[in-house]
Amino acid sequence: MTNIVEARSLFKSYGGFVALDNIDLCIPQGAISGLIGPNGAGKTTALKSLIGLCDVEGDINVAGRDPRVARHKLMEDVCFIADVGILPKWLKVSQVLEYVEAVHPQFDRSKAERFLSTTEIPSNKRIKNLSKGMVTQLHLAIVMAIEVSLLVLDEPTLGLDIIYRKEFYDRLLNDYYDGNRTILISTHQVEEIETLLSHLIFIDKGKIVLNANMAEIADIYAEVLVDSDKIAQADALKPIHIRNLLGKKSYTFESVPRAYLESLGDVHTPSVADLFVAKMRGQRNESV
Amino acid sequence: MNQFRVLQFFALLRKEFWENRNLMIGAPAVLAIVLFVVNFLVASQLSDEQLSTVLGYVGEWFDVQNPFYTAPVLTLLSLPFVVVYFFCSVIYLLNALYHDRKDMSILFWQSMPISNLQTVISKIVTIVIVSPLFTVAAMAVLYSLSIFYLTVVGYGLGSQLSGFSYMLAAMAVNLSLIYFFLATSVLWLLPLAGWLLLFSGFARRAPMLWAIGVYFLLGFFEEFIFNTRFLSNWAQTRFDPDNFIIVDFSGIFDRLLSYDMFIGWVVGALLITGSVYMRRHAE
Amino acid sequence: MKKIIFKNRFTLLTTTILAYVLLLVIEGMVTSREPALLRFDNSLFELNLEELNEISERFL
Repeated sequence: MTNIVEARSLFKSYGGFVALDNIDLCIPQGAISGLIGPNGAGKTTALKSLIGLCDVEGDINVAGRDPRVARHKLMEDVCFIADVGILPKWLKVSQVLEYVEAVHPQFDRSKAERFLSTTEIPSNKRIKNLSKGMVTQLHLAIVMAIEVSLLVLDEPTLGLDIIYRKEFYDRLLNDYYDGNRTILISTHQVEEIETLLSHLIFIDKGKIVLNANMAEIADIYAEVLVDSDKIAQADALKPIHIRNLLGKKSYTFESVPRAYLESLGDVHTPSVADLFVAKMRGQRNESV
Repeated sequence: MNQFRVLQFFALLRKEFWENRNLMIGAPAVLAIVLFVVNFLVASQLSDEQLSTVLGYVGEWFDVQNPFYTAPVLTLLSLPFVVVYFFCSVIYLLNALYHDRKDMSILFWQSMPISNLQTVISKIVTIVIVSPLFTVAAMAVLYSLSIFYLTVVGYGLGSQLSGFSYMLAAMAVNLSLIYFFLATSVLWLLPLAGWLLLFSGFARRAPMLWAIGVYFLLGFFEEFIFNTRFLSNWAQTRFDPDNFIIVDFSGIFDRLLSYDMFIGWVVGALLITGSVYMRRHAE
Repeated sequence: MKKIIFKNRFTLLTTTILAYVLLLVIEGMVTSREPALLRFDNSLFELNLEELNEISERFL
């Protein structure tokens, strides 16, 4: 399985603030990777560096190219959607399609128009007169009609109504993803995408806290609803996080074989959201 | 240069046109309407006799039949268009690399396979070749309407209108001259274009203030610290109208394909290169 | 070297302007550029003055 993104020792600082602290980022082809982290963690900086919109130090190879050297060539293979609403406000819908058609060799206009026909977006309206949700629909329709090997989405559903958000991920998964294309999504709304993802990357304060695929996660991490009489035993196994849940205590363990945990109570794989909190809290506790 | 790159480039020019219709078409169109109304009002202040005399005189002038001789008179009418064109171009260039950074639409443009060099070049080609077309078109409409109106009035007054038919030929010559003049003036002022683009790409706010402020600061420093005048000598040559104002077609190539024109391209290219890098590296 | 020039937009601007000033200074020295006196003696303006004179004569 080749990696479509191979980035090592990425470093970026703004004045005294370190946005990326020598991180490695490798994403296998065909993965749907979630880059998850709190605001200010470095998600946007990391993503922008992969598509050449942000100058960072380190080695980067995306789809066989260094994004800092020939961004425009890279854009024939990679597509990017930033936070909602970056389509130019003065353009008409028909003009966007016309422009992308002339400019992008892999754009299939009829495909985009087919996607658009399922929305309520009129082709002669200006983008400034479309709702936020429609702008995202339009941008997604365009992107889905472009044949690229990597799609990078930076908080694509930020500020959208739940209907548009759900539709966005529906389309992404059903109409776009075919097993060969790679998708890299960043978000801080974990719950929304956890069922989509094949790979997880947690980032906090410019450092990578976790980078694994979902199968590995199930092997490594476990959450146990510990019976009250087994608390001492549970503590001895050094959990990375403990929280109260409906009157019982929920322990999260890392790299502890399930066999040991079975006797303590209900064992299950933590949800991405719970794992995220556990790792973040765990990191912060350690540094105290 | 394969066909695809050519199509891409035309798409860029189309995009510039879509984005700047107000500057490119609106400004000269409004000016044309204003001038037409002003002429109309002036003409309506004259008595029939005065008007008849003026029209007779005008007809006589154009009866000379050589449009290359008569065209320069129309240059007077062209001056407002030239001035408007200059101001619109300055505004255009200051906004060219600034506006899309301000509203973040740059993230969309840069997600397309278009290089920053292509982008900057398309903006220069727009003001050299594309934009003057619309100014000249507005002038053509103004001239045609004026000639039509004056002809109608003149017939009504029984003036001597023999030369009027030659007005159209003079008009055509004048329009070609003005188009050529606008295009070559921009090329002559390429260093200015580069300077404006550089600050358009650099400034987070108020690119015009940066562009003007830095220039004066530089000149000030040069004069008071080094006691030399290289910058102001250069500016004086560059902005001396005598160096690039074109009245008729004679001697054009000598004046324009000159050392000063070429060195201007070198300096312009330096600043334009700076603006291309600025677009790539400005956060 | 590249790291310094492209460190941020200010260093890039400074570098470009420095190169620009250098080019102008060298050019000025090499060609002994003199300040051009502003003269308006081209045919356009002569023509206009003649025109205006004739028109006003005709009227008055």
